[in-house]
Amino acid sequence: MAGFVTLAINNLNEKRRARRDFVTKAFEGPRDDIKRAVDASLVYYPHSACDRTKAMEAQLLAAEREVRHSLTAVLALQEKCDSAVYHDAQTAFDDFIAVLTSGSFQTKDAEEDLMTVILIADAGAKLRSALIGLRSETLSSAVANDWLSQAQQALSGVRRSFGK
Amino acid sequence: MLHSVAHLSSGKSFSMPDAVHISIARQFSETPFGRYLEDGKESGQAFREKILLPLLNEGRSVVISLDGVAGLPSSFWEEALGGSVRAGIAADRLRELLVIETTEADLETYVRLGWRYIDQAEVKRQTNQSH
Repeated sequence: MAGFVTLAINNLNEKRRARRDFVTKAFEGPRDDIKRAVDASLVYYPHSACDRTKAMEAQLLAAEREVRHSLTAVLALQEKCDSAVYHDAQTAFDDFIAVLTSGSFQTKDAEEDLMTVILIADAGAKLRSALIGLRSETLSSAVANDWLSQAQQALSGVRRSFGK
Repeated sequence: MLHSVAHLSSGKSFSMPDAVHISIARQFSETPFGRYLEDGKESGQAFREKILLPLLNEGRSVVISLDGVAGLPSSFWEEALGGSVRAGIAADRLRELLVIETTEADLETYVRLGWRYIDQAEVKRQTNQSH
């Protein structure tokens, strides 16, 4: 019996580790994509319209698309879409997408636009920070739902009631 | 008679009888860009003035589908929707007449942003009126 329980707990720990690795990796993609988008904006916006090339513009648009896809995938991982952490991340995501192609983007008479670069860097930092909170919530909700956690919670409930 | 059923990102759905259905990708551009007409014929101002405002000014309900677009640069999207408020259509009226929809999960951010641009333009309009 003890051997069976040990095997089950080891098995569960293995699943928890795999889940943790999966979630950690899932959040690495968006973080890298955000950095690439901020870098692309650093190449594009400091130039005036006549010095902005189609390649710079395409790089920024491609980066925006990558961020959209990877963030959407990460948000879809969440089981609780009504939590404050989820909404913070979604708002930070929208803010970042909004500012990435704002300001003087694709404007024919654009001048050097450092303000938009600053806004993008700021929104990127806030989004990364929001993702840390979301990752933490994702990891804890994954663990909280497995049978060992539920058994531990039940046991501590029994202990509390005996303690009274 | 046209009859559109709009599926919102929230999962709700409702009917808009007589609504005109506009697919940005199919009827305007898969890659809309730019804010003003001088930025290009696929700009936000072009979309607003040639497609959106004529319908809204007639009091027609409009369903804008985002499906198929590669992306909506903020400069384009803000000018199309925020510009409609600046052109004289109040945000409340837009809420009665307009539905923005997509079935593609990665485009849902643009649905939320569209309404944000409308609300921000309305706040600015009211602030300007009070001064």
